[in-house]
Amino acid sequence: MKRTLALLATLLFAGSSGFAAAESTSLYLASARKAEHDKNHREAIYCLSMVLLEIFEHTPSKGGLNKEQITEELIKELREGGREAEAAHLKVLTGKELKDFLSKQISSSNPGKTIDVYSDGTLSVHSCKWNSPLPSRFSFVETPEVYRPNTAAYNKVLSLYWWFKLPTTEQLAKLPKYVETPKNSAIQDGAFKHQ
Amino acid sequence: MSPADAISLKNAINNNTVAISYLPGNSAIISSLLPKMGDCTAVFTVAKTNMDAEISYYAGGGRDTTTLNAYRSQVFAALNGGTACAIPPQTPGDIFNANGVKYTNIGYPSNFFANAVVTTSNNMPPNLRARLVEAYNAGWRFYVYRTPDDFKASALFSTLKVSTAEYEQIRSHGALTTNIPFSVQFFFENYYTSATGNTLDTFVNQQNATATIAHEVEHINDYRSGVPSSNDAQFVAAYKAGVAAYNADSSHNPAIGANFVSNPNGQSELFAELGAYYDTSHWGVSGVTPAMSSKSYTPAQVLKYFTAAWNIMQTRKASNTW
Repeated sequence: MKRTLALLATLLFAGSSGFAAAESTSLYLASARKAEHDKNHREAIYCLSMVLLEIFEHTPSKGGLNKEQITEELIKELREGGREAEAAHLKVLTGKELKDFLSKQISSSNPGKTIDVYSDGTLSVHSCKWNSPLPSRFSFVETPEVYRPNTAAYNKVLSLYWWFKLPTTEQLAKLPKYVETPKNSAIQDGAFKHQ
Repeated sequence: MSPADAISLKNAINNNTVAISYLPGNSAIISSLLPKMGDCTAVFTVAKTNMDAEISYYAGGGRDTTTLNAYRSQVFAALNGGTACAIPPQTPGDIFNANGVKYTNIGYPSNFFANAVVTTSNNMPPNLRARLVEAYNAGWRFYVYRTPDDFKASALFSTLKVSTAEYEQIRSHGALTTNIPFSVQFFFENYYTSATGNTLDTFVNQQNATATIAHEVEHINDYRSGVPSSNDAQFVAAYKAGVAAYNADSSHNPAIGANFVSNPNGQSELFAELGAYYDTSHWGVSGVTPAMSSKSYTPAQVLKYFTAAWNIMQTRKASNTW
């Protein structure tokens, strides 16, 4: 009876979202292999960076990983994705600089990131569209980052999200108009009004 | 000296030393906390002075790695040195018993913020508050942290086995709920305003605070009411009609699309947002403004597409079905 209960508990745990997170390294590695095969450089860079970061932070949930091999795979994907300078940079990085580099790759290539474009060129960057190898376990209220054309931040975003291509003028004209949120929607009320 | 304040101040200074772009959000936090440090003021002042020197050097065009590392080294040395200002480790948290609704607080938010959260839940419409008591007895917990970094340093972070990818998403949100069974919720008094940036801002600057608490609680209400956001045929049909109306519109507020259209949890988010709008419209205590949680859109902009869903919400709420 005890063994039956233990098995049941194991199965329940295996089906829970906690199990999925615990297996993250294997899931990222499997997704990286598929993305490499599919020539999906963005997702491959994201998944390989995630595996390397987990190794760096000594938290990989999978043993026997070859750090050098995965680094070489990431360099290859960066090159094939047109990120030659970053591929060369990765070769010489160690310590905190390596960690920062991987974090940047994870942010910029995150397949869950979506960029909506509006007819005047305004960009709305948000990340609700969950497209990670791991199942989503959290609900968020999303505040998109909005970038208006002809600003320094706008150009920085275009550079950061290297996989994003701005539509042509003809294509932009067919897109919806951007509607700004009225400023008076900001409220401090109730128990928070004195903060 | 408050250990909570000391830990938050240390986190804030550490953040600044590794990412100069954290300013000005963290700078305000540091300035507000420094006067509270008592015997530790000298230690933190040394750390902050070196941090400011590093920032000034960088802002002036200085990029010499040796110089920058020297500043950082002095900051870390100040924070780690001496026992006179040893910061106690975080301990298991307080339990608030707030008019029948309990909250578990383990994240060292400021007293003001924690009290505002508790007061807000005390004053919720009675029907909703009664459901929260039932939820608490069934295992629901509500955590309030000063920053996402405090959450990352907590035992709960390990218990939940939060992955690196999940934390990257979490750190730029002020409030979140674990998906089904919706047993854990978080609020961060300060959080990062961009997924790729390192600027901290306050919850109340970014969110409509009372409505955000109501919004997260409505996720619990949705779950404990049988997940009508997914299972009520009328609500689902109204949601789909709203999405179609949004997609057919020639002008968009992108935040509406991000939360309710492209979001795989769009139905759940709409339920929680309409529920919060209803709750704040029926608060029963003066000083609360009818609102939705996000400052990125107005209720009118949302109801332009989702009027049918709003009508269903009002009917179900009035009959205490939801």
